[in-house]
Amino acid sequence: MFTTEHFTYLADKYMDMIFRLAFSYLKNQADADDVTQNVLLSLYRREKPFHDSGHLKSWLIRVTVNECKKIWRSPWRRTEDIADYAEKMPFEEKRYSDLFQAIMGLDVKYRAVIVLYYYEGYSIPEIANLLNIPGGTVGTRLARAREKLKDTLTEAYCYD
Amino acid sequence: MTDRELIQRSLSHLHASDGTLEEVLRMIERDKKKTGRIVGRIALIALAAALVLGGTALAVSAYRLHGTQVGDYAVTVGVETEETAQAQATYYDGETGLTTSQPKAKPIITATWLPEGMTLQPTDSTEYYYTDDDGNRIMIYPTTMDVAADQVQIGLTGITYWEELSIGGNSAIYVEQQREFGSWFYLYLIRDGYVLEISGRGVSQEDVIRFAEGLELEEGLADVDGLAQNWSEYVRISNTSASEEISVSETGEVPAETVENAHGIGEAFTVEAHDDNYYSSPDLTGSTLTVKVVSVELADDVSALDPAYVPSSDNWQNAVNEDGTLGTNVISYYTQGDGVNTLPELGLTEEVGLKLLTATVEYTNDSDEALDMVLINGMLLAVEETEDGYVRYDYNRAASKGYDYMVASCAFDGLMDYYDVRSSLSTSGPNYIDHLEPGETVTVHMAWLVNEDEVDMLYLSPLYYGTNNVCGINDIVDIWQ
Repeated sequence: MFTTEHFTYLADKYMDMIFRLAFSYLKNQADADDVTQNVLLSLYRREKPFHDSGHLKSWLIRVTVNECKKIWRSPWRRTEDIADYAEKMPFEEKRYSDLFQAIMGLDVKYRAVIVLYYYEGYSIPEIANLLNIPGGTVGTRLARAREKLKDTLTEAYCYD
Repeated sequence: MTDRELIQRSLSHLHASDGTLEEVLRMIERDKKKTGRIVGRIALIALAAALVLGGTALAVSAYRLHGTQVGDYAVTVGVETEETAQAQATYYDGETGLTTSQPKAKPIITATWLPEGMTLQPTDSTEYYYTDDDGNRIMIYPTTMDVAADQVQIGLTGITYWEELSIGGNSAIYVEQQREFGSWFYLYLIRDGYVLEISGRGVSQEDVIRFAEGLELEEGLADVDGLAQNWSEYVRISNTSASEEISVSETGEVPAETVENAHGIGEAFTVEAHDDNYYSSPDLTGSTLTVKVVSVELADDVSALDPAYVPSSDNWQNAVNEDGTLGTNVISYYTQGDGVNTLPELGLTEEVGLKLLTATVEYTNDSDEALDMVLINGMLLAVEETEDGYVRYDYNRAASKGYDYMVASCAFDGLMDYYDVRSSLSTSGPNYIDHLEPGETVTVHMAWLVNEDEVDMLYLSPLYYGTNNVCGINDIVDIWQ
């Protein structure tokens, strides 16, 4: 469906979004890179058109989540020490590194909604639709994630 | 600094490794050498020569819709322009690959005349949806006449009639299309910098024209009403396949591992789960759900069901006689035609007997914590073993008989129609167990209408979750084992 130029434009635009979400699931650079490549290949091979950029982005998120679930089932799943990984990242301040490790220390069901809500900017109903879980569950997970992170976050949480 | 800003800064250094995109492009090149590019449906190949893309972006103010016949049953609709000197700000749209202009705000449309019996019924997909009690309808989809409009043509297949018109001095094209379920009309109309796609069924050409003549348009506010999609982008989308997303399971493949590891009747199996049955991290221990299909039965009537939970859908009304016995499923098989030189054609009609299949399923909370909102989602799959592996026979029934598609009086998608445990708290549908204490078991009785000739192929997935995705078929039960 895409010319190489068009695909390269889209891949460059969404690659890091795919990687961030995959990393939040897998907590492993190599696995997240594999998922990113697989998702981009699926995008290139897709025959059906997208209604708009919002449809495309939602599709990418769903495919990323499914690819991550496949890796969970793999006996070759890799593990990585998050503290070691965080040391290699160029955080401007220690509190960002601490918060990153705290987020990655959460259960995956919390990490995914944290990434989608706070970083990708999706609303609770949108996240519920993307992950196919009830809206109330999304809200609950965000609240519980904040509760677990509250020692690291410096300000009170407010729903947008 | 807000929580959002803090979290964004903590996650901002997560990037894919250098070289990721280059590796993907290398894989794409390897793919191309092996298989070549596959282009959509037959109709698209036939139309390809007639669809011309590219050209220079022009600043124009006068437009005319123009149709071109392709084969016996296809038409391309394009925009011809009169070149004038009028500056418009243009930009490169990376999504479409065209140089185009900013979309206008959506118009506010008022219909001053409607066919008898029709009223306005806005839906999630369109604000302008008019329908009557017989299901006849008119819909309006407005797009912006952007500067790339003359670079694209929309390809329409299965066309039995079309003509160019002038409606109130505005250029229009009227088209009648033969679809699987009847005839459909389109009226493309240029009005006030917009291209309106007026479509529907069950309305005469005369009434469609009168409806269009009576439309009043007022440009809305972008911030309030949103933007009307550019015509060039809409044409790009329309020129390829149908809009619905196809996932792996919609193509009918079932993983061999899933089938070969199927459980049996009376066999309890455990899944990692917690509330709402979303897959948790494998690091989370102790949160499990045990599922057991206790028994399965077939019947020729619905007398065993609780009337409070019997569906009132068309499927069930078509299938169940007044005395509660089951009727037959009338299935018609068609060849699609290419939409350019051939139309859909009926090839075969058969009557298939129906059965009621009921299953008793137990869900037990094995964990030390209570579970809330446990999903109940029984899915029946008719699985057939072929040379290429296991496939969903219910998805491939028409193909197995040598046809392209089928139309049935009772159309089944495999999801449970009947279940006798309902949530009183859920806002996402009633198919949840509200609360399961540690060690507690809830028994659910489910039922489906099935084609008699598919009974022997059936497997049951009692925890089918998510969208139509092959991952949701995990842990199926061979109900005849």
